[in-house]
Amino acid sequence: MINVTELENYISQLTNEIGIDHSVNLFEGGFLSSLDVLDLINFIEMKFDLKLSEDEMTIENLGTINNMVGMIERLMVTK
Amino acid sequence: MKLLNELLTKSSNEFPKKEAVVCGPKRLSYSEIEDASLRLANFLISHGINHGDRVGIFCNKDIEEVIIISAVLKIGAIFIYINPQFKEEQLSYVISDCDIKVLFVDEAKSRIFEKADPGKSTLNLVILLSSEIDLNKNNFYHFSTLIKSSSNNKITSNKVDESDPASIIYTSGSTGKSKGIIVTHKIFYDSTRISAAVLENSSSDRLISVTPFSFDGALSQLFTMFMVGGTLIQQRSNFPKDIVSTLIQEKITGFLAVPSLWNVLLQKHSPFSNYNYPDLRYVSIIGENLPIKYLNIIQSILPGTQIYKMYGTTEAFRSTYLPPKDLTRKPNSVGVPFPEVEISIVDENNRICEPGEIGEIVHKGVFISPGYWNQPEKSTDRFKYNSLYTGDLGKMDEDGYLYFAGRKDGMMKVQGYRVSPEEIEECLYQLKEVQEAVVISAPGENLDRKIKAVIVCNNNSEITEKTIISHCRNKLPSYMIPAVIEFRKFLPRTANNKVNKLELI
Repeated sequence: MINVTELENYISQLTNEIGIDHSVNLFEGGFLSSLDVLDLINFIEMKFDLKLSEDEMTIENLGTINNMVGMIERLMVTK
Repeated sequence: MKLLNELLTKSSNEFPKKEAVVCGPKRLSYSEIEDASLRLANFLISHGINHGDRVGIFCNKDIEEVIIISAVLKIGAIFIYINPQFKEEQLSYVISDCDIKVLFVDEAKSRIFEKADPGKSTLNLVILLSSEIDLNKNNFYHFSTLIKSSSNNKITSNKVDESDPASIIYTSGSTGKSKGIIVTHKIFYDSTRISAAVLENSSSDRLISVTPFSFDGALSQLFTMFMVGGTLIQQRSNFPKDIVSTLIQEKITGFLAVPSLWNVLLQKHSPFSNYNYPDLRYVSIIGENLPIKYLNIIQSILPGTQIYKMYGTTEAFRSTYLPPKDLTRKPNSVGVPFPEVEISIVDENNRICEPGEIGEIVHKGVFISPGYWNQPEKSTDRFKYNSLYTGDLGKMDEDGYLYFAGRKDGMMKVQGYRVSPEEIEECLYQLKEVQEAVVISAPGENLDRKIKAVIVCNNNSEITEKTIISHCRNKLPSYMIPAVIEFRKFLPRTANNKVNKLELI
């Protein structure tokens, strides 16, 4: 299991909103824009010591907190 | 008569079974779009929406927005596609500025809509695109329910004229408040007809639509597909892998992109350069200047694709284009005037400039807006002598090719949006610690220029960069948030006591 709080805190900082629903699409809901994508990727790579491949860069993987957690857990297993 | 609503009807007669619009797994044919938009048009009429009324759309890319635009045009009403990056303040402003009567909202945008609280406005009908949301309020409807329950009779009551406004497009104004630019049926029709001829569009075209319909270029793509009977693919996600997948799987033939989108596609996490795009016939680049270095990279990834650079302002849709054959010869130019358009460069005395001399770009001929919504006094400055004085600076070379040289009024271009430094400065001044704030455009690391804010704090007060950015995130669309904050003890001034912005870059 990964530490979801750290990811939550980071997203709160990025969006300036507390307690965002984990199933809400952050990009479609206007919380984040495409300019935040690189920051988000850098944070995930550093914090969880992962290397995200180009094919992981989808809204399916990175759109909601739930899906980010799912992707990170999947990549941690295969690391 | 040059009516937009007739384009869809014509294609639904000629190509009834052909795919008109695609978004993810959803696919609608021309006859399905025609049928749904007739049903929605009848619903709107039965709820008192008529010729000339304003209808707002605030949602993410989807198939429904095409039905909404088509229905609004059928009844001669005016659609306002609200920039999906707008926050509650800008949304409230647009709703009240043009007295929007009906607003379409999707689930993801309902949070911002609720915060905007347009209770006292003229808004009397809200239509939700998602059936997930509860309906406990009067005058709220679900899109899917009303489509099923309304008739698809032909609309005969509302006569539309080609000079009628079809849309109002909001763009940043130099005073800090957005301005609504009126676009008529005839302007959209002419721009569609002329750009389709330049780009050689046909019914076999499949265009990807990445930018929202708050950009006139995105609307032009939609109407072009309606005119020729092609297919528009609505791209909901801006993630590089998702765009690449759509380009390949949907066999996209035409792609309009602003430079900031190229920034996303060419960065290190993007798989764009790993694939081939044999179906991609052309790309058009519009909105800001794209450095030659990047044009060359795009051309090397897309060797069989024609690249069109284009220039224009929303007040006159599109002014010039650089034919692909001239790209290597004149890579810095934004090209030659579109057919039926004349471009000249004038000095402050309205005298025509010599080749090479920088002056204001003036557009004459087709595509010129009748003016700004509710702002006739601003309109007279810009719309005069049957021309549009664009407020852009430029020069023409000996061969008649145009070169863009920035904005006269200090406006900036960020991610394809016209951004007013004053609007960001206004937002910064809301912080009590800020004594002076100046916003400028500074060179970025990649293709984009960055927004930089220079702050002078009040005596004895301090504020952190983080607090300033948080405040901006709450108040402004994301593309307006400064990337760099710099604190200074005082601002450099010119001899006339104006802030010397050049020293701040």
